[in-house]
Amino acid sequence: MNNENYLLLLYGYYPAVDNQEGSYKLMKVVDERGMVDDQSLADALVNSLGKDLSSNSNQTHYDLNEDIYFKGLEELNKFAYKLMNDLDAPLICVLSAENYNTCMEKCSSLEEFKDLLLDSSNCLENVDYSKDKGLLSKIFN
Amino acid sequence: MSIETRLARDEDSVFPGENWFFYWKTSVSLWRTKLSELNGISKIIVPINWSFHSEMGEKFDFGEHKPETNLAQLSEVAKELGKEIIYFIPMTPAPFLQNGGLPHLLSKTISLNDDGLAQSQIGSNEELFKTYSLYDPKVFKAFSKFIVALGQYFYRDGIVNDVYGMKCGYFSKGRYHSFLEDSSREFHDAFSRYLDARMRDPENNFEKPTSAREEQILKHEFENLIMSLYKSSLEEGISANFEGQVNVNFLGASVHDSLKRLMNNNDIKKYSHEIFETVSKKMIVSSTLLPSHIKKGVFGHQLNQLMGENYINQMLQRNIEDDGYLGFSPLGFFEVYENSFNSNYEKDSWKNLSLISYLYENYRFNFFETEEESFAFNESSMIDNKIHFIQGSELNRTRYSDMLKLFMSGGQIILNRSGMDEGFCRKLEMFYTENSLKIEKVNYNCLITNIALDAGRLIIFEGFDLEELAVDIKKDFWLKLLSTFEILHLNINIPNEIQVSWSTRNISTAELNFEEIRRVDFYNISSYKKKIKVPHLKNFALLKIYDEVNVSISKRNQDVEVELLPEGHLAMDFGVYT
Repeated sequence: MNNENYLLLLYGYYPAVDNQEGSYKLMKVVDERGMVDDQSLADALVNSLGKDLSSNSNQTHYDLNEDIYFKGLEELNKFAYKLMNDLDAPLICVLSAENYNTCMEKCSSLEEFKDLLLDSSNCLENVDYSKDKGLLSKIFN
Repeated sequence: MSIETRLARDEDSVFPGENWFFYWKTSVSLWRTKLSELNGISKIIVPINWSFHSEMGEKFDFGEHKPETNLAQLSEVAKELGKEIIYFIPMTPAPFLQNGGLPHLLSKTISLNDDGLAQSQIGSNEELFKTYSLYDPKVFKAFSKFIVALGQYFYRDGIVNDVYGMKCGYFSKGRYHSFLEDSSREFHDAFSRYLDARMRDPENNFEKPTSAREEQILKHEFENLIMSLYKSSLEEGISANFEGQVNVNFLGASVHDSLKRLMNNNDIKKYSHEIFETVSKKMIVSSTLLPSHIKKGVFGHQLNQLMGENYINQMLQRNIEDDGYLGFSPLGFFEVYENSFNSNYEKDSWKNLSLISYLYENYRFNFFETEEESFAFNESSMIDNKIHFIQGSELNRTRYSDMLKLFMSGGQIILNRSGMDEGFCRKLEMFYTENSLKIEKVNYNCLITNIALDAGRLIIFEGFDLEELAVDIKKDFWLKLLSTFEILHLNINIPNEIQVSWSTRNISTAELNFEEIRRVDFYNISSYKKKIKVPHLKNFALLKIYDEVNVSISKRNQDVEVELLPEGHLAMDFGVYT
C-alpha cells in the first residue's frame, strides 16, 4: 500500500423505498490521525455542495449528530474531493461498505487487505498535493 | 507517515497482557520456562481456543495429536510452579482468535456491525482477525459438542481449575457491545425464524414488530436468548468447574478502532479512558490486540495498576474478602443500575436524566454502572454503604422485594418511580402505611419523597418530570439531592486529560487511627503539563506520596500542588477518619 497520508472514505448505499430515491450514507472518513473531525466534514459539505445537498434546500447548517446522505455518487465524490483538498491529503479512497466487506472476505492477511482496499476503491488524486512543501507554504497555504 | 517494522517478541504473543497466557502460541516444552518467568503472579488467565482443539468442529484433540492441546499438562505445570490457571471460554466470537475462535469449517458468515461493516480486528502483530457469526444453528450444535467433550476431558484428567464463560466485547460511544451483536444475513435469518416461532406459538399472543424501536427490542431479546443458550451449554457441559460469566472489553477491537489502526493510528487516550469506563462497569480489560510498544509509559502503568491480580480476583468474585485482606479495591459511592439496552436510548435512561454526566463531573469514576439484573439483596450490598440508583420501570417482583430488604437493612436507595408498574406503586404505599414510616414530600423540579428508617433511606422521584428540563437544572437537582447524603469524598478539581482512579482498602493494625485507607492515582495522558491542587481537608490525612514519575510536588499550608508533566503519574494514600 502507498504509505502516504491518504484518506479512506466509507459509505453505504440505501436502496429506494416508497418512491424515494436511493441514497448514499457517509459512514466513516479516516486518515493516519484517526477519524476526520466533524468540523472538517461540515466545512467540506458546505463548500463542495452548498445548500443543495439534500431535498431540504433551506438547510444551511448540517448537524453532524445526524447522518449525512448524498443523492448520488457524483455528489459523494465531489464532497470527497473537497475534503481531500481541505485536509491536504494526496489521495482519497472512496469505498462502499459492500466492497469493504468483500475485500475482508477475500483476504487472509492485513497487508493483503490493505492492498485490496486500495484496488477496490475509487481513488481520487490530489493534483495540487506536493509532499515536499517548503516551510513557508506549509504555514501560509 | 513512516514505516516501522517492529519484530514481534515471542513473549508478547504468548503473554499478551493482564496475565493472560496463549498456550497455542508456544511449544509445550517451553510452558514451564515461560510460566516461571511470571514473577509475583499467582493467577494466570488462559482463554480456551476452540478451533485449536478442533479444526473441523467434529473431532477434538486434548493432547492426543498436538501436545499443545494438553490442558491437563498445562494446569499441572502451573500448579508445580505455585500458580493457578483460570480458564476463560469464549461464549461469543473472540476478537483475538482467527475466525473469532470458530473451527474453520464453521466460519461461514462474517459478522457485521450496526453500520453493516464486517467485524474485524487487527492483532498486536498486525494479524487480521475476522469475526464470524454464531447464529448458524450448526455452530451452536458444534459448540455444545465441544463443551461436552471438554467437560468429559476435565473430569477424566482431573482438571479442577475454575472455568468462566467469557463475553467478549468492545466499547462504542460509551456503551459496551458484545461480539454476539450482529447484523449479518445469518443473524437476520435466525431472527426471522425466532419471530416465526413466536408467532406460531398459540399460547403466545405475539405480533410482528411494527416499529423500528419494537424490532430493536426484540433483536436485543433474541441476542440475550442466544447468549443464554451458549452460557447454559457451558454451564451444563463443564458444571463442576463452571464459576460464572466474565465480561471482557478488548481495547482496539471495535470496527471504528480497527479502521483507525488500519491507518496506523492507535488512539491511546481513548484506550486509557476505556480502562476507567470498564472498571466503572465492573468488567475486565484486555489489551491483547494492542502492540506491546504502545503499552508503555503512563498507559502501560494504568493497565498494570488497574488490571492487577487483586482487581481480576474481585471481578471474578473469588474469595478475597477475608478480614485480613489489605489489597485495594475500586472506590465507589454509587451503584447505578440500568437496563443495558435502554441505556442505548435517550429515553428512560439515567443518561437522559443527566445523572451520569453529573456523577462523571463530580465523582469521576467513583460510581459503578451495572446491569439492572445484577441488583440483588445480599450481604455485600448491606455493608457496601453505597447509594443505589434504581429504575422503577425495570423492577420485577424479586428486585422489588430485594429493594425493600435493602432499605430495611439500612441501605440507601434512589428510585425513579416513572414507568413503575402500578401494582408496585400500590404495594409501596401499603409498605409505608403498614410500617408507619415517616414520609417527607417536597417539590423541587419534580415530586420527591423521602422515607427514612434508621440508617435506611428511600428517595423516590418522578423522572418523567425531569427529562425535559435543561441539563443544568437536572445537574442542580442531583447536587441538591445528593447533598442530603453523607458522602465522605476528597473533592479534587481534576483538569481534563488527567485520569484519576480511587481505590480503598481496610486498615492494618498500624493504622488504627483511621477507618479506611484511600489511594488516588493521577495519570497525565496529555502532551501538556498539568497542575492539580489537592486540598488538606478534614477527615483526610495524607499518609504517603509515591510512584512519582515526571512529577514535581510542593506542599503548602492549604494544599499540595502537584505538577504532572506529560506521561507523569503519582499515587497518594490518605487515611480517612470521622
